Amino acid sequence: MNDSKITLTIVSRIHVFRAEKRITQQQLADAVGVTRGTIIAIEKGNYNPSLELAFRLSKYFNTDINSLFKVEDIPNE
Amino acid sequence: MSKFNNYVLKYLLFSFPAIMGVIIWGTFQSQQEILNSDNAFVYIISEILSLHLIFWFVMLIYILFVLLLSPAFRNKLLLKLARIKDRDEREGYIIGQSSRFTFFSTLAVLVFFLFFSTVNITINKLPEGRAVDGKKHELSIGLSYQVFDNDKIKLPENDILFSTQSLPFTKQNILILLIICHLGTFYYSSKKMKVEE
Repeated sequence: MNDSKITLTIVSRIHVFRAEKRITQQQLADAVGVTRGTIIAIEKGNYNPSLELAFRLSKYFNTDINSLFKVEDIPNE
Repeated sequence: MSKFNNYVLKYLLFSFPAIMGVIIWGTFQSQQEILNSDNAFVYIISEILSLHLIFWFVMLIYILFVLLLSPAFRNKLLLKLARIKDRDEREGYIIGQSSRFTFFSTLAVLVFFLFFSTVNITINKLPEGRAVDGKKHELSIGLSYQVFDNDKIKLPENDILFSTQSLPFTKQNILILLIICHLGTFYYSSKKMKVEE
């Protein structure tokens, strides 16, 4: 059994998609039904959205979740 | 929250200064002095304010009962009191984390209070001739636990220099402290989490 743990870091690319679509954080927040603070927190990587919100975001940007969020695993000793 | 309960809440809040005024007036002038006064105006004002005080307390008791019995009212009122904003999943997450932090902090305070309520510390002066190696004072530390609040055995007071038995606060102060601690911890932790994000 492998005892080493892996820390998953989720990197958001929402700001890239938002810039491409030329919309503000508030507009995106209104579109997916959350507060602007939540969008800021997701973009800064301080909050991981729920699966439901992630799907809502991917649907809004017409892309898949893997394009919106990149997962980096950092193995711990 | 029904409209009536909303009005009652506003009435309780906005008439509170008048209630405080009556209480402060009562500390300076007794009811008997007011009744004996020749000034009819003061007498009438006192009567009106006294009736208002009774009505205010009746309304307060009503609202406290509604608070206990109606989960919807309780939820809305306490959300306002604790200034909780639960607009989306992240704020729900922050509230969850803050509630957890508050729960453990309050539990720690309760354990702390329980410990100090069971500890007895007494420093007393030894009677003449019982001094050991020139030491004239005695320190007693003990633990006591009682299920019922019986009358405490009175110790002779003249020789005791310091004594503490159970918590020095009154029951009201303990409740006020717990409420302040509860709300303060929640505000602090939720604000800290929002700032960190």
